Amino acid sequence: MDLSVFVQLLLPGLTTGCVYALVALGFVLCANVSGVVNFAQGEYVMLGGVVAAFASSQGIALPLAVGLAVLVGGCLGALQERLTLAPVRHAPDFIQITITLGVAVVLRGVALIAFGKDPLSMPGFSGDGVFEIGGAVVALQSLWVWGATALMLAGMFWFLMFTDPGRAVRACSINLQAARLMGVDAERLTLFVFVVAGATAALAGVVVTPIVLANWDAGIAYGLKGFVGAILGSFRSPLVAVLGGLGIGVLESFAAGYVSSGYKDAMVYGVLLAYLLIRGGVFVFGRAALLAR
Amino acid sequence: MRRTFLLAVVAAFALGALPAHAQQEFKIGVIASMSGGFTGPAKDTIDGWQAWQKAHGLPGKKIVVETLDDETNPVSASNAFRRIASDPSINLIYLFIPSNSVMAVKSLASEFKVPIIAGGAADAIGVPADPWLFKVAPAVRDFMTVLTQYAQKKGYKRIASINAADAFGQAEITNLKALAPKTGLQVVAAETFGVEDTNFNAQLTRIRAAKPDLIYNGAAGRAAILTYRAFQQMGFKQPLVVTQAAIGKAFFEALGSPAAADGLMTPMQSGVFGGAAAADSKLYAEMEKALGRTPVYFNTFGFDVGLITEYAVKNSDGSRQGLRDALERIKDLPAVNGPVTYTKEDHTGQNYRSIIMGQLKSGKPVPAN
Repeated sequence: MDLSVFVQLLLPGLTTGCVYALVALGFVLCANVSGVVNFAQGEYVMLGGVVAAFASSQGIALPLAVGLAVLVGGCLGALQERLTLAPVRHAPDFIQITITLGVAVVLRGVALIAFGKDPLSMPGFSGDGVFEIGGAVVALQSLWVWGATALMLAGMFWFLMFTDPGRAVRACSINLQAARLMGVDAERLTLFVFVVAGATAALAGVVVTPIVLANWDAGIAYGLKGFVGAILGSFRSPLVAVLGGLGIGVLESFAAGYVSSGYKDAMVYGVLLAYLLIRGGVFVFGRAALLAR
Repeated sequence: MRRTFLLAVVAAFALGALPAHAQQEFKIGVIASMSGGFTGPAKDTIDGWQAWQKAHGLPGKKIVVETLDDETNPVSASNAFRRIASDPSINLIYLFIPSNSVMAVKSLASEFKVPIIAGGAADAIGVPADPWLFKVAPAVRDFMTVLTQYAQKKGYKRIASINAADAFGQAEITNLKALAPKTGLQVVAAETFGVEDTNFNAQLTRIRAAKPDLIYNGAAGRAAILTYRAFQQMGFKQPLVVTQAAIGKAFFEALGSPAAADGLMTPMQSGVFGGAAAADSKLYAEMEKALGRTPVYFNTFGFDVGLITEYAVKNSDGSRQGLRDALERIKDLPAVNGPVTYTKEDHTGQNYRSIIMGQLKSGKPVPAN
């Protein structure tokens, strides 16, 4: 296959990967501060999309629709933390994680009832046109997805590296107990991170909706692939999680294009499996040695 | 105590409860997707069936309906079926649920021995035949038969197909591969996708590289919209045939207007075209009048379910066994979409004779030339 085919597979893969990357980032941030894997993360992408598309269909101007969706994402993130996680902060991890699964189901159900079962569309921010690059045809909206992702990642980098709350998040990721002893208000920080994660995922959902539509059941797929990205980052490194998310988007596109569309998901999860086995040391120490530990 | 009982009897007479029982009851259990992804088709089916009840019904009988929601979920469908089929007063069961849920119920059908009239297009619903389960709509092989016959008529030699990685999609591609050689067609690309997928560029790139004369797209729902957009964005010029399930309000809304899909082709059951194109234009007119609006596909399906019920009740003693036997005797029963036939070996109902290749024109299907 020639270069144009390569580019045709790469660029849309990157677009999808941007959403996975932002979901993965949300997973990592929440896990670092609260110690909880928030399985509702993908649902915020879905909610951002359906809220913005619905608002847009009601004649609300695009910037307002986008702002509304981000606000809803942030507020729901806060509500999730305050109402469902804060009361059980000292409960075992599996209870807290199960609660996030329950929240995901509730959010899906509410979206179905509120916005209906049909996919919602939204016009592209700069029209529904396409552009050609390297012989490949790409939707104009992809530029918005890439731009918004780059902007959010840059903002997140600045936040984590150059602000006090960001440093506190990093401190929590290194040692939550020690960070608390040093005066970090982990409870308040958890609330803040859930708001940021919800709003970021919602924005990702908004920018990608003109390309992929918004549907009440779309959150699961984003959540799962973002989760894989977060695993690649060991739920610790935001950078690796983002790269993992981007990589998964590109990998599934290449797998479908160069191997077979039927093996797309098998390859993505196969890579995850191989990564976990390698990381677990099964190829270095051998299975028997690991079992004996 | 005795006085209370007498009062209750008097009250029952006063409320008219007893005259209602003067008519013989015919109790139908309905398992329908009242929530989840199949809600729209299920609701349309019920509307169509109610139109039949209004236009025909069962003279001399009072139809009593008990409905359970399967939540578009095969496990819930099985549970709902067990509950309804266990009720000895149920004469007949309708399944207005997707193919995979019908298949889940099929494995239980003979256990309860209640005649079932089911929706769903998967071939395996009707063949091999379960003695108690009767499908209505044509099978996937019938739609693929019409597609390959159309390709042959137009002189196309190379066909590409993109299908969902589910039972229905795989049945489509299996049938297409089996039927294509008989009409001089070569399947040059057979791509798959997951129903949750949002990026179809890889599949379409492979299809473009295969240089087909005709493309079949088996996507429904969101995938149908996204693939259609991707075909347009990537500049495909080949004629595109989509599955009947792809066409609907959401499809047109997402494209901007019904006219945006002009020229798109789809094999459809003849009832969808209405008027003279319907297999039985008299029945179609009755349905349209009772419905009070232009019917959509699943309305016609619901009406046909009613017609099949009507035949079975008229030609049996009304018992479960009697209804089942009457259903299996149906041969070329006139219906809106096309004649219905069952044999001991084949419980499919309608076949390729009820399908016409259609083409969209301002959102309305017209027979393709």
